[in-house]
Parts: sequence; structure tokens; C-alpha cells
Amino acid sequence: MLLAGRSLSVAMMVFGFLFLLGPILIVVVSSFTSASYLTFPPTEYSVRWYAEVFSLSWFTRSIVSSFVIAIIATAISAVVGILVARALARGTFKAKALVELVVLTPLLLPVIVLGFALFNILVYFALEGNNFVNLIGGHVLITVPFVVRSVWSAMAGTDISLEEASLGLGAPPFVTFMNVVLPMARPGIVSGGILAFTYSFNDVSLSIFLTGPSATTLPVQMMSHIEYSADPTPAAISTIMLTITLVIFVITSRTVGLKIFAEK
Amino acid sequence: MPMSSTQRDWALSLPAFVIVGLLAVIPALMLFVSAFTSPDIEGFTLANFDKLWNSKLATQAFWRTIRVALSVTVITIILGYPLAIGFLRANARLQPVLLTLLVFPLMVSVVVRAYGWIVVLSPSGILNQTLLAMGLVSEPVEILHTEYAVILGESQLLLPYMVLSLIASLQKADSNLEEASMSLGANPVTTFFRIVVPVSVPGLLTGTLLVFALALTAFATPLLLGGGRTPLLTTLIYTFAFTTFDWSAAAAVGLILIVLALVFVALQRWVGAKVLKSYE
Amino acid sequence: MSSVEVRNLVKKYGAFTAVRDASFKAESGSLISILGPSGCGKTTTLRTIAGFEDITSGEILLDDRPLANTPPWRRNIGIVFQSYALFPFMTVGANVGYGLKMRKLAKSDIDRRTDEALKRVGLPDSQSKYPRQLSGGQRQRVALARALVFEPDVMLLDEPLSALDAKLRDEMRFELKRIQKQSGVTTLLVTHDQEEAFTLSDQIVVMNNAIVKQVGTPREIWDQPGSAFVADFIGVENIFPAETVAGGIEISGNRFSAGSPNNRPDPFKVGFRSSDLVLVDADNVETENRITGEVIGEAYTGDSNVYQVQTGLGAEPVILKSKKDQKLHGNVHMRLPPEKILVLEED
Repeated sequence: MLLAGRSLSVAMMVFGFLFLLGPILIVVVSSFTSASYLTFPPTEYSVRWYAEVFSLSWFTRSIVSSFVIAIIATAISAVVGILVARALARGTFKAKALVELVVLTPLLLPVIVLGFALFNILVYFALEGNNFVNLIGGHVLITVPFVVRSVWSAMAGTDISLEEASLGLGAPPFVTFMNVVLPMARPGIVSGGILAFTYSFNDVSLSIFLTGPSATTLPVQMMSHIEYSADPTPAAISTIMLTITLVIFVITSRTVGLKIFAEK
Repeated sequence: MPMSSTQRDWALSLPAFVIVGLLAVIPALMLFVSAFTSPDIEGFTLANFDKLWNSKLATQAFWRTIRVALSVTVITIILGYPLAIGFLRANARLQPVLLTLLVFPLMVSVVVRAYGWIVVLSPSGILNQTLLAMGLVSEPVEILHTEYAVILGESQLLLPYMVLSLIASLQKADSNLEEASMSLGANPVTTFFRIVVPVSVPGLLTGTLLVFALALTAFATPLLLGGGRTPLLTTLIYTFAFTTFDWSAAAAVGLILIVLALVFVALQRWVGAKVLKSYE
Repeated sequence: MSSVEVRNLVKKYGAFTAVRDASFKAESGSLISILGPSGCGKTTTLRTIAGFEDITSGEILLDDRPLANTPPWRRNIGIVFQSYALFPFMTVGANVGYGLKMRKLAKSDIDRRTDEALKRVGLPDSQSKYPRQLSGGQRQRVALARALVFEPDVMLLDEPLSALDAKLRDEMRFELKRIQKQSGVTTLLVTHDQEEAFTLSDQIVVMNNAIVKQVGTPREIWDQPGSAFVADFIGVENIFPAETVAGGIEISGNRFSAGSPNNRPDPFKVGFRSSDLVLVDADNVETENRITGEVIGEAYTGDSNVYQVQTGLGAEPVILKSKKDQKLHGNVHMRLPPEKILVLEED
């Protein structure tokens, strides 16, 4: 009875992991097909579709702009996020609750609605053509809360005596901020930065309203491509995106641990 | 003149406050206005909501959204328990591996994850190839671009959140509880329903609220797997915005989604403050 | 070296008063303790001297120079925190050298003085270690070195020994005294441990409920605790309300001869230590200052026996200490020498 119960629960667990990872693995394996349509497992392996993908101009353009946008948005989010996290963690001002509410608003509202609302106002001011700037602004918007939350909790968990020790040893507030406050918040800054980069790089719901002829992102491009192509290029692109994710993933697990992705 | 602490706190808060204020709060307020106005009518009106109410497409999308979110929640609960319990029973060397397998999908682009299901479910996909080869069906089963595909895709998307919530609450419970129950004469099934489930209620509750809320607001997965034939509220916004260019209707749907999302935020807060306290 | 003086210091947080009109002075080169239970305002007082808290009114003077408008980073005060507050991501050398770096000293001078300071606290060759690699006692020494290396005018210590275990605490107490004497820095120490205050200090400031109850040398406070609170806090076991009568005092109707009635507050209490009671034989004819009672409880400490004796002095039993080979039971007779009676202000 016990044994039967155990093997049943093991079987259900294996099924769960297959459900979770199976489709992704199938995409990776079938991307290495030599055929012009998808088969699993492929009858013959080749990297033909990777060559094909890298010759696509929309792919190279959109992967570069995805990286550039994610890096710039993460940098901006990190700076403004660290500043406001400092105010929220140590500040005593009356408007703290208001600042918290406003800064974390993007977490409360559905991203798709935020995207449409932003698009609406951009059209109202005839700014919808500045795709690159709009994408960066939008990505800052959706990534700031991640930086704020993780930096805030790192700062709040820091012994305030460390700052006081620095002040008492003769370091003025700004020097203390750079020498003590930032290094102590480093794990939070790294987690926030990784989360921000990942969300920015992967976002579709917001970006789909902001992309246009002058700038677009890889996930949005891939999404429209999936709808019109039956060949294995999306599989190859998926595998490339998975590889990028894997790199970030390894960096994360080596630095701040995987738990940071467990919260939403 | 040195800054007062209030001035300093405001100076630190201002950049983020202005960015989010300009790009989220004001657009959201404007959305609110456009949901209650119409190009044909002067002043505020409920015409947009009235139109949605009378549109078969919109009411179907609303109920489909609720149905999908409920199904996804149920599926993630059913698949979540074995994964959570399996994780906690695994030995110390296996646990980090299992955690990696659970968390990694969360980082993978939703487009990639949805594409995985397209590859599996499409008429010429793996599933149909297998079924046809085994002679179980005579022509491809149509799953892609149906509600079922959306449910499958979103369940896979959100399963890790459920598992992690369950793990968090089961981890706190005394591992001797199960053994105690069985030593008192309860079989594993009884023990599961009488001991494991009650102990995990806080995690089940937070997981359910989280998964349900995220299922309501998911966009890319239903767009790719449901297609135009099975719109949900989120994909309806997109359709109204870019296909029919009915922005007032899109704003009204957006407002409904905001209200649903805020209800869930309020529920999460309330559960966190009241219900979960009683378990500590 | 500098003297520190606190004059009529008041610190309020909204409606709550943390420090009420505190005044005391630490002479140059001396060690002064602020002693009191937790929440008495002693740490707040220390933090106002460090500059981490604004003061509501009053003055803090460093060598007769008011400090009110000097920010913490310009006060030149060395601080040892209760948690030590060593920067975890910096080496021991970088921690100790931090204050010197802020004073823009040359790298070679920083290194030399860091080495000297670490040597002085008994931790040579630990520059490249990280705080997490050190024991509690070693961290304490690094914190001391960091606070002293830039030759501060004053050193402040917040419960410096509370994080250590009992044995290490005794050892560090001597070390602290030695280092303080050697550097000659004016030192202000906050503690709730009366033994720490008595063994280390030149002067003790006893605080309770935001008020300075008494300022004096350890000897003065030991011999003449001014109030019932101070007496109780420094370990005077027996305290009873009393009143003046002709030729002495009365405790619950029992008459005792005591010292001069001059300067006796009204109302007042009296206190006496368990070790000052003298056991007398039942048939001793001398009846003056005699206390008779019944043993109701006993406890054995290593070198003495402690008894609770129910007497006519009040509901509270009298605490009596006897030598370890002297076992008591039943009725006991004690004499309270008049010169051992402490007259205490009621709180």
C-alpha cells in the first residue's frame, strides 16, 4: 500500500515535470531538424534553421534592440529604484504610503491594460511614433517595481548601526551612501536588476502596443512571425532565447539564488 | 541650508514617482475617462459598457476568461500537490535540481512557452502525428485555437507559482505529522486529505489567488493558443485596439480588467492579513 | 582629550519624553557610565552625544564648545556599537582604516596607524581577515580599534560587553579598562549591568524613566544610594518604608536607632544589605535594632547561604546572608547596625 502510494506520487511528479518542461524540450530538439517542417524527433539533424534565422534581418535587428532596450531600461530602473527604495526603507516622510502606492502601481494593474493605456495617451499627444523611446519608457515602468521591492527589502534588513558607524567615523551622508548603504544593498540590487532585465527582455503585453517601424523587440516580432510561418525558424529562435535565459539563470543561481523568481 | 529629512526623502522618491506617475497613473486615469466617454455622446456615459453587455463576443470573452482562470487554478492545484510533496520528500542533493526545474520555466519567455504548445498541439503537431500513427484517430484532432489549448498553456505557465506556494506552507509544517497520522492508523490517502491538505491551506490559498489573478490577466498565451476564435478579455483589448479600432470599447474592457485585478489584490491583502494570521 | 558635558538635556519623541533634564559631566580622560534598566533613556542620551538624534532642548558641550550644530561626521567621536557594526564586506584593516581614510590621510599613514591600533587591541596580523572570520571577542576588539585609531576626542560605548558570554565578558572588561587608560580617551559607556559600571567607571550616572537619579563615584553610589530605585538597582535587597520618631526611625512600628535625622527626606524609605545583618543568639539581652523572624525560604550560593526571613518589618521577607557553614532554620534573631541603615528617597 505504502509502496503503491509512493510510486503513484513519483509517477505524478514525473508527469508534472513533463508537463512543465516537455513542450520546451520538444521545441529545442525539433529545432535541429533538416526538414522544412517540424517533426519530433527529427529524422535528420542539422543546424540549417539557425543559419536561416541569422540571415533574417528582422531577427538580428530585433534581438539587438531587445538587448539595448533591456539594458537601458534596467539601468534607469536601477538608479531611480535604488533612490526611491532608500526613501521607503529609511525615510520618515508623511507621503511614504502614497509614494509606495504609486511606484508599485505597475504591479497591481494588468500589464496589457497598462500597455493600452500608455498607447492611448501617446496617441493623444501624437508621440506613438517614437518607438525606441516609448519602449524604454514602458519597460522602465514595468521593471521599476521589481528593483524597488528587492532593494527596499535588502535596505530594510540592514543594521542601521552600520550607517551610523560610518557617519561617526567621519563619512558625510553621500560618502556613507556610496561606501556602506550601496554595498549592503548589493544582493537586492543584483536581484532587482536581474528580474528587471528578464522581464524587460521577455515582455510582450506592454511592448506590443509600443513597437513600430522604428523599433521593435524580439518576443513581439517572434509572436507575429509564429502566426504566419509553419517552418522551424521559430523553434530555432526559441532555442536561442532559451540559451540567453539559461545564461541569465546561471548567473542568478551563482549570485543571488533562484528564489528571486519565485515571487510575483 | 541643509535639506530637511522630508525634502531629502522627496528628492529620492521624485524620479521614480514622476516616471510611474506620468507613464502609469495618468494613462490609467485617462483610460478611466475614455471608458466613460464616447465620441458620439456628450459628457460621461455608460454607452461603452452597455455595448459590451449587448455584445455576444464580449460577454462570451468575459465568461471564457473566468472559466479558463478557474480551470487553470484547478489543474495547477491537482498537478501542484504531487510536485510540492515530491520536492519536500526528495533528498538534499536532489532538491536544488528540482527547484531549478521548477523555477527555470518562469524565466523563459511566454512566447517560447506558448510556441512549445503550438508545436505539440497543431494539426500537424507531435500529438496529432502520434495519434494518427497509432491509428487512434483518423483525422487530426483540433485542439489548437480552442479554449483547451489556452487552459493547457496557462496551466503550464502558472504551475510553478502554485507549487512554490504549496512548498512554502508545507515546509513550515512538522514533517512528523504525516508519520504520526500513519502510526495512528491512517492510510496514505486518508493522511493526505486529513493532514497534508489542511496543513497546506495557507499556501493553497495564496497559490490559488495568485494563479487565478495571473490567469485573468495573461495575454500572450491566449493570443497565440486561442487565436482570434476564442478571445479572452485581454486579447479582446488587443482586437478592439488594432483590428476594429474601437478604443472606447478597449478602454471599457481594460477598466473591467483593472477592477478584477484590484479585487484580487484586495483579496490577497485581506487573506494575508486575516486568514493566514490564524495559521501562525 | 576633551571633557563632555550634558546640560539640562531634554529629548522628546512627540508626546513621549525619552530624556528629561539630564545633566552630568565627564572630565577629560575619565570613564563615565550611564547605568539604568532598558528604556530608561541611557542609549538615547548616548545617541544625542553622537549626533544621531536631535535634542529637544539643553546643551551638549565638548570642552565647553556646544555641539548642537555639528553633524555626526564632524564630531570626532569614536563609537562602539552594541552590535559592533563592523562593515561585513570590508576587511578588518579596511574597517579600522575607514575613519583615517575619511580624514584624508596618506595610504602609508593609514596602514601604519591601523597596524598600531590592531596591535594595541591584541589583534596584530588580522588586517586581511573579514569580520565574519572573527570570534565575538575579536570583533569587539576590532570595533574598539576602529573607534580609537583616529584619536577621537571622546569614545562612546553602547552596551559593549552585552553580546559576549560571561567568561569573555570578564576578560574583555579588564581589556577595555586597560585600552581606555592607555589611550587616555574620555569615555562614556552605556550599560544596564551594575557590575560593569562599578568596575570600569570613574563616575556613574544612574538613570530611570528618562530621569538622572544620581551621579557619583562608584564608592559614593555604593555607600550612599540616594533613592530607593538606585538602592534596588545596585542590589540592596531589603527596602522598607519608614518614618522619623523621637530618637530614631520606625519601620512598621518597630523602632530602630539610626544616624542623624538631618537631611532626611520626607517621606522616605530605609534599605540595608543582606550581608550587613548580624546574627545574634536568642538569649542575647541587647534588644536595640533587633529583628526577629522565621526562615521561610533558603537558597545556597557557592560561598554563602541566602535566607528569606518573615519579620514584623513588612509583608516582604527580609533577605539575610550567612556563611556557608552556618545553616539556619526556625526563628532567627538579627541585629541591624545603625551605621548600615541607608536612608533613601522614595521614588
